[in-house]
Amino acid sequence: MPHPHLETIRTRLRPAGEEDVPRLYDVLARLGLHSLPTPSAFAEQHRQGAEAQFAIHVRPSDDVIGFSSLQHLNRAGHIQVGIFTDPALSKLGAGAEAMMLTVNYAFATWEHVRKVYFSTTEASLRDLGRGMSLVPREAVIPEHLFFQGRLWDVHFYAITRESWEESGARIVDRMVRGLERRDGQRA
Amino acid sequence: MIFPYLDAGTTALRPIDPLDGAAVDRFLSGHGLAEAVSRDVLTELWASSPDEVVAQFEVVPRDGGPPAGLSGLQRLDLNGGHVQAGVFVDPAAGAETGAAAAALTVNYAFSSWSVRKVYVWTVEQAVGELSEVSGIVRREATLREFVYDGGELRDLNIFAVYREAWQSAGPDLLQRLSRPRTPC
Repeated sequence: MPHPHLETIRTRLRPAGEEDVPRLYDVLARLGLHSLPTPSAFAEQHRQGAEAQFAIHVRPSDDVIGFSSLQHLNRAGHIQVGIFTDPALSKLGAGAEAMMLTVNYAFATWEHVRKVYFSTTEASLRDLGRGMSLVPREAVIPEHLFFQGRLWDVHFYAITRESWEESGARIVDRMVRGLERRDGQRA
Repeated sequence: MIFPYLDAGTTALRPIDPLDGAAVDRFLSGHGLAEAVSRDVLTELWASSPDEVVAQFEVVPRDGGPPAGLSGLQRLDLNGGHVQAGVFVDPAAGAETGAAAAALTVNYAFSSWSVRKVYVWTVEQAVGELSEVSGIVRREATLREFVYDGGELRDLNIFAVYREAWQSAGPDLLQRLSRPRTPC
Protein backbone atom coordinates (compact mmCIF):
# COMPACT_ATOMS: atom_id res chain seq x y z
CA MET A 1 0.00 0.00 0.00
CA PRO A 2 1.30 3.48 -0.80
CA HIS A 3 1.78 5.95 2.05
CA PRO A 4 -0.61 8.98 2.11
CA HIS A 5 2.09 11.64 1.64
CA LEU A 6 0.87 15.23 1.62
CA GLU A 7 4.03 17.15 0.78
CA THR A 8 7.07 17.21 -1.43
CA ILE A 9 9.98 19.61 -1.61
CA ARG A 10 7.92 22.16 -3.55
CA THR A 11 4.25 21.29 -3.00
CA ARG A 12 2.07 20.84 0.08
CA LEU A 13 -1.53 19.63 0.33
CA ARG A 14 -3.59 20.94 3.25
CA PRO A 15 -7.10 19.69 4.06
CA ALA A 16 -9.41 22.45 2.78
CA GLY A 17 -12.31 23.80 4.82
CA GLU A 18 -15.34 26.00 4.37
CA GLU A 19 -13.15 29.10 4.68
CA ASP A 20 -11.42 28.09 1.41
CA VAL A 21 -14.64 28.04 -0.66
CA PRO A 22 -14.45 31.71 -1.84
CA ARG A 23 -10.85 31.12 -3.02
CA LEU A 24 -11.88 27.90 -4.81
CA TYR A 25 -14.72 29.81 -6.52
CA ASP A 26 -12.23 32.47 -7.58
CA VAL A 27 -9.83 29.87 -9.04
CA LEU A 28 -12.67 28.21 -10.99
CA ALA A 29 -13.91 31.58 -12.26
CA ARG A 30 -10.42 32.49 -13.50
CA LEU A 31 -10.00 29.11 -15.18
CA GLY A 32 -13.31 29.46 -17.04
CA LEU A 33 -13.72 25.69 -17.14
CA HIS A 34 -17.21 25.67 -15.65
CA SER A 35 -20.40 27.60 -16.10
CA LEU A 36 -20.51 28.49 -12.42
CA PRO A 37 -23.60 28.96 -10.26
CA THR A 38 -23.77 32.02 -7.99
CA PRO A 39 -21.23 32.07 -5.12
CA SER A 40 -23.85 31.19 -2.51
CA ALA A 41 -25.27 28.32 -4.62
CA PHE A 42 -21.72 27.09 -5.17
CA ALA A 43 -21.02 27.21 -1.41
CA GLU A 44 -24.21 25.23 -0.79
CA GLN A 45 -23.21 22.58 -3.36
CA HIS A 46 -19.77 22.47 -1.81
CA ARG A 47 -21.26 21.68 1.60
CA GLN A 48 -22.63 18.44 0.14
CA GLY A 49 -19.05 17.38 0.24
CA ALA A 50 -16.23 15.34 -1.15
CA GLU A 51 -14.34 12.43 0.40
CA ALA A 52 -11.27 14.67 0.66
CA GLN A 53 -10.45 18.19 -0.45
CA PHE A 54 -7.06 19.88 -0.36
CA ALA A 55 -5.68 23.37 -0.80
CA ILE A 56 -2.47 23.23 -2.86
CA HIS A 57 0.39 25.32 -1.45
CA VAL A 58 3.67 25.94 -3.26
CA ARG A 59 6.97 26.34 -1.50
CA PRO A 60 8.79 28.40 -0.49
CA SER A 61 6.07 31.11 -0.52
CA ASP A 62 3.38 28.73 0.78
CA ASP A 63 0.86 30.52 -1.47
CA VAL A 64 -2.32 28.65 -2.35
CA ILE A 65 -2.29 28.00 -6.10
CA GLY A 66 -5.40 25.82 -6.32
CA PHE A 67 -7.37 22.89 -4.99
CA SER A 68 -7.65 19.15 -5.49
CA SER A 69 -10.39 16.78 -4.42
CA LEU A 70 -11.45 13.15 -4.25
CA GLN A 71 -15.13 12.41 -4.63
CA HIS A 72 -17.75 9.80 -5.50
CA LEU A 73 -16.08 6.98 -3.59
CA ASN A 74 -17.89 3.92 -4.73
CA ARG A 75 -18.55 0.33 -3.65
CA ALA A 76 -17.30 -0.82 -7.05
CA GLY A 77 -13.86 0.40 -5.93
CA HIS A 78 -13.41 3.68 -7.75
CA ILE A 79 -13.17 7.34 -6.88
CA GLN A 80 -12.85 10.53 -8.91
CA VAL A 81 -9.98 12.98 -8.62
CA GLY A 82 -10.27 16.65 -9.59
CA ILE A 83 -7.68 19.42 -9.64
CA PHE A 84 -7.96 23.14 -10.35
CA THR A 85 -5.00 25.49 -10.20
CA ASP A 86 -4.85 29.23 -10.79
CA PRO A 87 -3.10 29.67 -14.16
CA ALA A 88 -1.52 32.95 -13.03
CA LEU A 89 0.09 31.35 -9.97
CA SER A 90 0.90 27.80 -11.03
CA LYS A 91 4.58 27.10 -11.19
CA LEU A 92 5.82 24.57 -13.65
CA GLY A 93 5.15 21.09 -12.32
CA ALA A 94 3.42 22.08 -9.07
CA GLY A 95 -0.03 21.12 -10.41
CA ALA A 96 1.30 17.78 -11.65
CA GLU A 97 2.86 17.08 -8.26
CA ALA A 98 -0.37 17.97 -6.48
CA MET A 99 -2.26 15.65 -8.83
CA MET A 100 0.14 12.80 -8.07
CA LEU A 101 -0.09 13.38 -4.31
CA THR A 102 -3.90 13.37 -4.51
CA VAL A 103 -4.10 10.18 -6.57
CA ASN A 104 -1.57 8.57 -4.25
CA TYR A 105 -3.66 9.65 -1.24
CA ALA A 106 -6.70 7.86 -2.71
CA PHE A 107 -4.90 4.55 -3.16
CA ALA A 108 -3.22 4.90 0.25
CA THR A 109 -6.39 5.79 2.15
CA TRP A 110 -9.01 3.43 0.72
CA GLU A 111 -7.78 -0.12 0.37
CA HIS A 112 -10.73 -1.16 -1.80
CA VAL A 113 -10.11 1.54 -4.43
CA ARG A 114 -9.06 -0.23 -7.65
CA LYS A 115 -9.25 2.78 -9.94
CA VAL A 116 -8.99 6.53 -9.74
CA TYR A 117 -10.94 8.32 -12.46
CA PHE A 118 -10.08 11.68 -13.83
CA SER A 119 -12.47 13.43 -16.20
CA THR A 120 -11.54 16.40 -18.30
CA THR A 121 -12.11 18.20 -21.61
CA GLU A 122 -9.82 19.38 -24.39
CA ALA A 123 -9.92 22.79 -22.71
CA SER A 124 -7.60 21.63 -19.96
CA LEU A 125 -5.90 18.54 -21.42
CA ARG A 126 -2.98 20.61 -22.67
CA ASP A 127 -2.36 22.03 -19.19
CA LEU A 128 -2.06 18.64 -17.57
CA GLY A 129 1.35 17.98 -18.99
CA ARG A 130 2.96 14.91 -20.46
CA GLY A 131 2.03 12.74 -17.49
CA MET A 132 -1.59 12.44 -18.59
CA SER A 133 -0.61 11.07 -21.98
CA LEU A 134 0.57 7.95 -20.16
CA VAL A 135 -2.78 7.37 -18.43
CA PRO A 136 -5.19 5.24 -20.47
CA ARG A 137 -8.41 6.88 -21.60
CA GLU A 138 -11.38 4.67 -20.82
CA ALA A 139 -14.30 6.56 -22.34
CA VAL A 140 -15.41 9.76 -24.03
CA ILE A 141 -18.90 11.22 -23.75
CA PRO A 142 -19.39 13.48 -26.76
CA GLU A 143 -20.62 17.06 -26.36
CA HIS A 144 -21.58 16.63 -22.73
CA LEU A 145 -20.48 19.88 -21.07
CA PHE A 146 -21.16 23.48 -22.04
CA PHE A 147 -18.79 26.31 -21.08
CA GLN A 148 -16.77 28.98 -22.85
CA GLY A 149 -19.71 29.28 -25.24
CA ARG A 150 -19.50 25.78 -26.70
CA LEU A 151 -20.04 22.09 -26.04
CA TRP A 152 -17.11 19.90 -25.04
CA ASP A 153 -16.47 16.16 -25.07
CA VAL A 154 -15.72 14.73 -21.63
CA HIS A 155 -12.76 12.33 -21.50
CA PHE A 156 -12.53 9.75 -18.70
CA TYR A 157 -9.08 8.54 -17.74
CA ALA A 158 -8.60 5.65 -15.35
CA ILE A 159 -5.51 5.03 -13.22
CA THR A 160 -5.49 1.47 -11.86
CA ARG A 161 -3.99 0.53 -8.51
CA GLU A 162 -1.71 -1.95 -10.22
CA SER A 163 -0.23 0.63 -12.57
CA TRP A 164 0.01 3.21 -9.76
CA GLU A 165 1.91 0.90 -7.45
CA GLU A 166 4.25 -0.03 -10.31
CA SER A 167 5.19 3.52 -11.26
CA GLY A 168 3.27 6.49 -9.79
CA ALA A 169 3.74 5.58 -6.13
CA ARG A 170 7.47 5.19 -6.71
CA ILE A 171 7.71 8.63 -8.29
CA VAL A 172 5.83 10.10 -5.30
CA ASP A 173 8.21 8.32 -2.92
CA ARG A 174 11.16 9.86 -4.80
CA MET A 175 9.60 13.34 -4.63
CA VAL A 176 9.09 12.92 -0.88
CA ARG A 177 12.65 11.69 -0.38
CA GLY A 178 13.78 15.03 -1.81
CA LEU A 179 11.93 16.74 1.05
CA GLU A 180 13.39 14.36 3.62
CA ARG A 181 16.93 14.96 2.29
CA ARG A 182 16.44 18.73 2.50
CA ASP A 183 15.07 18.51 6.04
CA GLY A 184 17.91 16.16 6.98
CA GLN A 185 20.47 18.69 5.72
CA ARG A 186 18.83 21.48 7.72
CA ALA A 187 18.76 19.44 10.94
CA MET B 1 -43.87 19.52 -32.48
CA ILE B 2 -43.56 16.74 -29.92
CA PHE B 3 -46.62 16.26 -27.74
CA PRO B 4 -46.03 14.97 -24.16
CA TYR B 5 -48.22 11.87 -24.44
CA LEU B 6 -48.81 9.99 -21.23
CA ASP B 7 -50.31 6.80 -22.63
CA ALA B 8 -49.63 4.37 -25.44
CA GLY B 9 -51.63 1.19 -26.04
CA THR B 10 -52.55 -0.37 -22.73
CA THR B 11 -49.86 1.49 -20.74
CA ALA B 12 -50.00 4.91 -19.09
CA LEU B 13 -47.59 7.09 -17.13
CA ARG B 14 -49.02 8.68 -13.99
CA PRO B 15 -46.98 11.69 -12.78
CA ILE B 16 -45.92 11.48 -9.13
CA ASP B 17 -43.53 13.41 -6.91
CA PRO B 18 -39.80 12.72 -7.43
CA LEU B 19 -38.20 9.72 -5.72
CA ASP B 20 -34.54 9.13 -4.98
CA GLY B 21 -32.95 5.73 -5.57
CA ALA B 22 -33.80 4.41 -2.09
CA ALA B 23 -37.45 5.49 -2.47
CA VAL B 24 -37.66 3.89 -5.93
CA ASP B 25 -36.38 0.67 -4.39
CA ARG B 26 -38.95 0.87 -1.56
CA PHE B 27 -41.76 1.53 -4.05
CA LEU B 28 -40.79 -1.39 -6.29
CA SER B 29 -40.27 -3.80 -3.38
CA GLY B 30 -43.53 -2.69 -1.76
CA HIS B 31 -45.46 -3.47 -4.95
CA GLY B 32 -43.76 -6.82 -5.55
CA LEU B 33 -41.83 -5.38 -8.54
CA ALA B 34 -38.28 -5.91 -7.28
CA GLU B 35 -37.40 -7.82 -10.47
CA ALA B 36 -37.55 -4.50 -12.36
CA VAL B 37 -34.03 -3.47 -11.33
CA SER B 38 -31.53 -4.51 -8.68
CA ARG B 39 -31.17 -2.43 -5.53
CA ASP B 40 -27.42 -2.08 -6.12
CA VAL B 41 -27.90 -0.71 -9.63
CA LEU B 42 -30.52 1.73 -8.40
CA THR B 43 -28.22 2.95 -5.63
CA GLU B 44 -25.44 3.55 -8.13
CA LEU B 45 -27.30 4.98 -11.08
CA TRP B 46 -30.45 6.67 -9.81
CA ALA B 47 -30.62 9.97 -7.91
CA SER B 48 -29.27 10.17 -4.37
CA SER B 49 -31.66 13.09 -3.76
CA PRO B 50 -35.15 13.73 -5.19
CA ASP B 51 -33.87 17.22 -6.13
CA GLU B 52 -32.00 15.59 -9.02
CA VAL B 53 -35.26 14.19 -10.47
CA VAL B 54 -37.23 16.43 -12.84
CA ALA B 55 -40.09 14.04 -13.67
CA GLN B 56 -41.27 10.81 -12.08
CA PHE B 57 -44.02 8.47 -13.25
CA GLU B 58 -45.79 5.37 -12.08
CA VAL B 59 -46.14 2.97 -15.00
CA VAL B 60 -49.74 1.74 -14.80
CA PRO B 61 -52.27 -0.13 -16.95
CA ARG B 62 -54.31 2.47 -18.84
CA ASP B 63 -57.58 1.01 -17.65
CA GLY B 64 -56.57 0.89 -14.00
CA GLY B 65 -54.91 -1.68 -11.84
CA PRO B 66 -51.70 -1.95 -9.84
CA PRO B 67 -48.49 -0.33 -11.13
CA ALA B 68 -46.05 -2.31 -13.27
CA GLY B 69 -43.08 -0.11 -12.36
CA LEU B 70 -41.68 3.39 -12.41
CA SER B 71 -39.97 5.65 -14.89
CA GLY B 72 -38.36 9.04 -14.52
CA LEU B 73 -36.03 11.72 -15.80
CA GLN B 74 -33.09 13.00 -13.79
CA ARG B 75 -30.02 15.24 -13.95
CA LEU B 76 -31.42 17.71 -16.43
CA ASP B 77 -28.59 19.83 -17.82
CA LEU B 78 -30.02 22.57 -19.99
CA ASN B 79 -26.53 23.94 -20.64
CA GLY B 80 -25.22 20.62 -21.90
CA GLY B 81 -28.61 19.89 -23.49
CA HIS B 82 -29.26 16.47 -21.96
CA VAL B 83 -31.30 14.60 -19.38
CA GLN B 84 -31.16 11.01 -18.19
CA ALA B 85 -34.08 8.57 -18.40
CA GLY B 86 -34.68 5.61 -16.12
CA VAL B 87 -37.29 2.92 -16.79
CA PHE B 88 -37.86 0.26 -14.12
CA VAL B 89 -40.68 -2.04 -15.23
CA ASP B 90 -41.25 -5.56 -13.91
CA PRO B 91 -40.49 -8.01 -16.75
CA ALA B 92 -43.63 -9.94 -15.73
CA ALA B 93 -45.68 -6.99 -17.05
CA GLY B 94 -44.53 -7.88 -20.57
CA ALA B 95 -42.11 -6.37 -23.06
CA GLU B 96 -44.84 -4.17 -24.52
CA THR B 97 -45.35 -2.36 -21.19
CA GLY B 98 -41.62 -1.69 -20.82
CA ALA B 99 -41.41 -0.49 -24.43
CA ALA B 100 -44.37 1.87 -24.01
CA ALA B 101 -43.01 3.24 -20.71
CA ALA B 102 -39.58 3.89 -22.26
CA ALA B 103 -40.97 5.50 -25.42
CA LEU B 104 -43.34 7.74 -23.46
CA THR B 105 -40.60 8.79 -21.02
CA VAL B 106 -38.09 9.66 -23.76
CA ASN B 107 -40.83 11.45 -25.70
CA TYR B 108 -41.81 13.41 -22.59
CA ALA B 109 -38.20 14.58 -22.19
CA PHE B 110 -37.89 15.88 -25.75
CA SER B 111 -41.33 17.48 -25.47
CA SER B 112 -40.67 19.21 -22.15
CA TRP B 113 -37.13 20.54 -22.33
CA SER B 114 -34.77 21.96 -24.89
CA VAL B 115 -32.41 18.99 -24.77
CA ARG B 116 -30.38 17.54 -27.64
CA LYS B 117 -30.14 14.06 -26.22
CA VAL B 118 -31.70 11.74 -23.67
CA TYR B 119 -29.28 9.42 -21.93
CA VAL B 120 -29.97 5.94 -20.63
CA TRP B 121 -27.31 4.70 -18.21
CA THR B 122 -27.51 0.94 -17.77
CA VAL B 123 -25.50 -2.14 -16.86
CA GLU B 124 -27.19 -4.01 -19.71
CA GLN B 125 -25.60 -4.38 -23.13
CA ALA B 126 -28.55 -2.69 -24.85
CA VAL B 127 -31.63 -0.66 -23.98
CA GLY B 128 -34.05 -3.57 -24.32
CA GLU B 129 -37.12 -1.38 -23.86
CA LEU B 130 -36.17 0.59 -26.99
CA SER B 131 -35.25 -2.47 -29.09
CA GLU B 132 -37.93 -1.61 -31.69
CA VAL B 133 -35.93 1.53 -32.51
CA SER B 134 -32.47 0.20 -31.66
CA GLY B 135 -31.08 1.98 -34.74
CA ILE B 136 -31.51 5.36 -33.08
CA VAL B 137 -30.06 4.32 -29.71
CA ARG B 138 -26.38 5.25 -29.80
CA ARG B 139 -23.83 3.72 -27.40
CA GLU B 140 -21.79 6.75 -26.38
CA ALA B 141 -19.42 5.38 -23.74
CA THR B 142 -18.62 2.39 -21.55
CA LEU B 143 -16.96 2.63 -18.15
CA ARG B 144 -15.55 -0.76 -17.30
CA GLU B 145 -16.43 -2.56 -14.05
CA PHE B 146 -18.06 0.62 -12.82
CA VAL B 147 -21.12 -0.69 -10.99
CA TYR B 148 -21.22 -3.04 -8.01
CA ASP B 149 -24.22 -5.35 -8.45
CA GLY B 150 -24.79 -8.26 -6.10
CA GLY B 151 -21.11 -9.03 -5.63
CA GLU B 152 -20.25 -8.57 -9.30
CA LEU B 153 -18.63 -5.64 -11.07
CA ARG B 154 -20.56 -4.65 -14.18
CA ASP B 155 -19.78 -2.23 -16.98
CA LEU B 156 -21.76 0.99 -17.16
CA ASN B 157 -23.04 1.56 -20.68
CA ILE B 158 -24.12 5.09 -21.55
CA PHE B 159 -26.61 5.19 -24.41
CA ALA B 160 -28.15 8.28 -25.98
CA VAL B 161 -31.11 9.07 -28.21
CA TYR B 162 -30.76 12.33 -30.14
CA ARG B 163 -33.64 14.70 -30.80
CA GLU B 164 -33.41 14.53 -34.62
CA ALA B 165 -33.52 10.73 -34.52
CA TRP B 166 -36.44 10.75 -32.10
CA GLN B 167 -38.37 13.23 -34.23
CA SER B 168 -38.13 10.87 -37.18
CA ALA B 169 -38.70 7.54 -35.38
CA GLY B 170 -40.55 8.42 -32.15
CA PRO B 171 -44.02 9.26 -33.51
CA ASP B 172 -44.16 6.01 -35.55
CA LEU B 173 -43.04 4.02 -32.53
CA LEU B 174 -45.71 5.56 -30.30
CA GLN B 175 -48.30 4.93 -32.98
CA ARG B 176 -47.26 1.27 -33.31
CA LEU B 177 -47.36 0.82 -29.55
CA SER B 178 -50.84 2.39 -29.46
CA ARG B 179 -52.36 0.01 -32.01
CA PRO B 180 -54.53 -2.71 -30.49
CA ARG B 181 -52.66 -6.01 -30.64
CA THR B 182 -54.47 -8.84 -32.32
CA PRO B 183 -54.35 -12.03 -30.29
CA CYS B 184 -52.25 -14.82 -31.86
